[in-house]
Amino acid sequence: MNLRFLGMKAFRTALTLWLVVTFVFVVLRTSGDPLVSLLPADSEPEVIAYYRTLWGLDRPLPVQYLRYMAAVFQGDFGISLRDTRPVIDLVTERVPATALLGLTALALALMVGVPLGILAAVRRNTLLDRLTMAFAVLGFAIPNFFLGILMILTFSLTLRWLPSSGTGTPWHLIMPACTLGLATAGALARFTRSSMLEVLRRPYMRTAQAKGVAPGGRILRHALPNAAIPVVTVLGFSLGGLIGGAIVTETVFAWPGVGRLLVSAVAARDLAVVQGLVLLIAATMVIANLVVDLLYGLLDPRIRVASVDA
Amino acid sequence: MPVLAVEGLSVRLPGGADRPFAVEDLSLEVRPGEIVCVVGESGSGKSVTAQAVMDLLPPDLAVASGSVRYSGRELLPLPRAERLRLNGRDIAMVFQEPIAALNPFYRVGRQVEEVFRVHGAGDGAERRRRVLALFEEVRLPDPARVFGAYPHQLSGGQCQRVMIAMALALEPKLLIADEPTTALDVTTQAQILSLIRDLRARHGAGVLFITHDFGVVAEIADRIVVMQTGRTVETGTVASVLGDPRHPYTRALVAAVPRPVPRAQRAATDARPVLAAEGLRKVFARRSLFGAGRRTTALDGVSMTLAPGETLGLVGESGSGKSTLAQSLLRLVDVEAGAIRLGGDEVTRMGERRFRPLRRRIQIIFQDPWASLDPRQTAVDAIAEGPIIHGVPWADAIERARRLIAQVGLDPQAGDRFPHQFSGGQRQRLCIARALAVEPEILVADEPVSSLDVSVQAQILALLDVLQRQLGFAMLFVTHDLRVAARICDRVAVMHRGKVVEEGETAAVFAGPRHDYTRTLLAAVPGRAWFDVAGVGAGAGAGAGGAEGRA
Repeated sequence: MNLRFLGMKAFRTALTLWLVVTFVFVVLRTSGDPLVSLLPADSEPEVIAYYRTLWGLDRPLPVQYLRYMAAVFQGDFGISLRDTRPVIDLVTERVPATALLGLTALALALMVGVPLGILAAVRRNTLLDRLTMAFAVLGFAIPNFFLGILMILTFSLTLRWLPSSGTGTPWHLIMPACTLGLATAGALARFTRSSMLEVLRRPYMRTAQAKGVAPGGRILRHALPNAAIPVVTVLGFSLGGLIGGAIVTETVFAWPGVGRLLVSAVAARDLAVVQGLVLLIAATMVIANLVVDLLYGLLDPRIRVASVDA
Repeated sequence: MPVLAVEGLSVRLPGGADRPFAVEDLSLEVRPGEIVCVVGESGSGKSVTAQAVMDLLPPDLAVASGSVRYSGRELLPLPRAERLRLNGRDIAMVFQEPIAALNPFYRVGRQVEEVFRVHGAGDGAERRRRVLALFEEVRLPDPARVFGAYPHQLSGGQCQRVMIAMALALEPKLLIADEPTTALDVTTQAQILSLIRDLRARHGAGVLFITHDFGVVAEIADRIVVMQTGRTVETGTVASVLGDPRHPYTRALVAAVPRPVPRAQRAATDARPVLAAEGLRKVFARRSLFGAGRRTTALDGVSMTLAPGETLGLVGESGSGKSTLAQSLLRLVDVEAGAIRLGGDEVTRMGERRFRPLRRRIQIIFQDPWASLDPRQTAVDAIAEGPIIHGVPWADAIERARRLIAQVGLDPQAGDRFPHQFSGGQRQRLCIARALAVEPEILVADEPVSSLDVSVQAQILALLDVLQRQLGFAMLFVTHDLRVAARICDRVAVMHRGKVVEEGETAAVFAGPRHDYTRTLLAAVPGRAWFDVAGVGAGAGAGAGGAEGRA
């Protein structure tokens, strides 16, 4: 592994995260006074002044920024303005629920999207292909909240098969995971299909047939690994999309994850929590992209192995 | 009994094609130990024939009628799974582009091993041993290392040897080779042809060899089938077809093969060179994501001059640095050391802004006429764009474009068509018209005929010759094909590993090559023995034995 390459990647990752923290900090501090929404409307000026000093909001913006950054470097994301608990605690107790939901949705999307994409490519221009692509378009055209409500109406209120909200049993996970995963499944199906179509045309596929490799082996062993590279790219983007989508999905299904925490924190102008969460989302995105970059290397020998004169 | 007998084979084209059948009423036979060459231009149906034999036809093509018998067994009515079992075991195929024909994801050893695995031969250790033995047999250097290499780590020639090893793995009785040397350098081509001849002799397999190049045919064929637009126009032994071609199409194809006979010398001029380079040096550093980088010296102290109106051939194999030299002269690649003079101007390190007006004086045409035209621009627009950029009024530029279209031998009415409405040869004519539209003093032609059929090649070369006489531009002609260089160049510079190893008047270099590498290149020209017999000998060095090992 090339150390210089890793160093560059790490530097860019850090730079991106710093930009995100700074941006969020500036936007939140300049878009209104958090004390107005946190304290009762008829609070005494002395009370407001007290909290302003307590939370350091009376200091000049650059000072607040430096103090915040110094704290972040020590793993201290501040205290929630609303319930006075450390942000890090609030966030970490919500992460498992979101991780469970996000990863289940991603697994569903992979299990549905990739095989559908392969089938559509292999059965190109058939009814199956058209149905699959219709499903894919539908998947990312339907907004999350709408699909969520539709599912609740159908499976909870009408059929009474699944619980409409909350957590606890695997049954609770089904509807939120489907809602969240559908768009990704659609995107994966489309990209897998076009990537497979591209690969199926390659001369080495004909070589495999000339060798006598059966159709199943040709598709799974010869086409799929080569088609996987663009699909992995989509997977990286999708991971970010899943967290964004979780904000809406968690709200619709009252799922106790970071998405709902973010919504309530924004509504309450709980600056410290919003900053912490945005940083978490950004970090997930950046790390997902880093993983994708490294996966390219693992998937493509042309990147992994330097060209040498054999 | 013939190992392959094709009778009355017709393969239907999808509706909307220019003809109803890709292959029509084709019959041919390949006997054990015999090499049968199917010869024809692109679109003649020769590859489709091979695909039909191996059940590799694309989904929109279908066998309409006829019979294909392998060792007496009729193949066409067999179920697909049954025919697949024959592939790789009884009938094997070698393809045109060896690097693309190997899966980039797997090590090549594993890909050859797969033939054994698919057909249930041997266990893991046994299979590996057999692959290594095959690599040895096809003369791959260091078989153990090649076994663990990925296709991109090997050269084109090495990949083709791997493909041949793969084809021979289970000792098939029939080997189909579809233009197996077209994408390779001449010396590699000569080695691969001799390898196929040897293997045929050793294994006794029948070979169906597809090519468009009669030079290659002369090297390898026992019998010949000439195809034109899906039909057989002539068949016979090598001696009869090459010695006395009957059909006009065969005669045209034979005549189109460029002979390694230098063109008549033109008077040399003492005028100041229009282009000169001295001591050019260029190193490419390639860094890879994982592992250390690698440095390649593409130009290692290269000097050249080009006199007004002359044609200098830059000859060499892939990786010799000839394209890098051409591109650095156009300032498309920056050199690390040396000097380039365009007429009286020193341009080596001239800024792009100052160099831009000088670009008019030096123009380039590329190898791939398909990729080098904007698909959304009509022919006239593509040709007029250059003059307009260099300040010619719009109406004048359009008029000049139409005149040039006629001058390069196309219908002036065709100017409003888009690139996809032209054939490969016609597109190359458009590229030439586009390069000449700004009235350059120098035309750089980078392998301009390498992707064209021999018959089209001949036409394009003749066109360049005529245009040069009419317009008087100097030409730097980059090619890997000595036969082509002989036909069009006044002088040639032979490049090898970033250096010019020999330079001189074409006739002198061909008659008495001084450098070993030049002699190797000349000896590798396909069809030399045939040219010699036919009385059109190059008069140089010892000819390569084209008839050795013939059954």
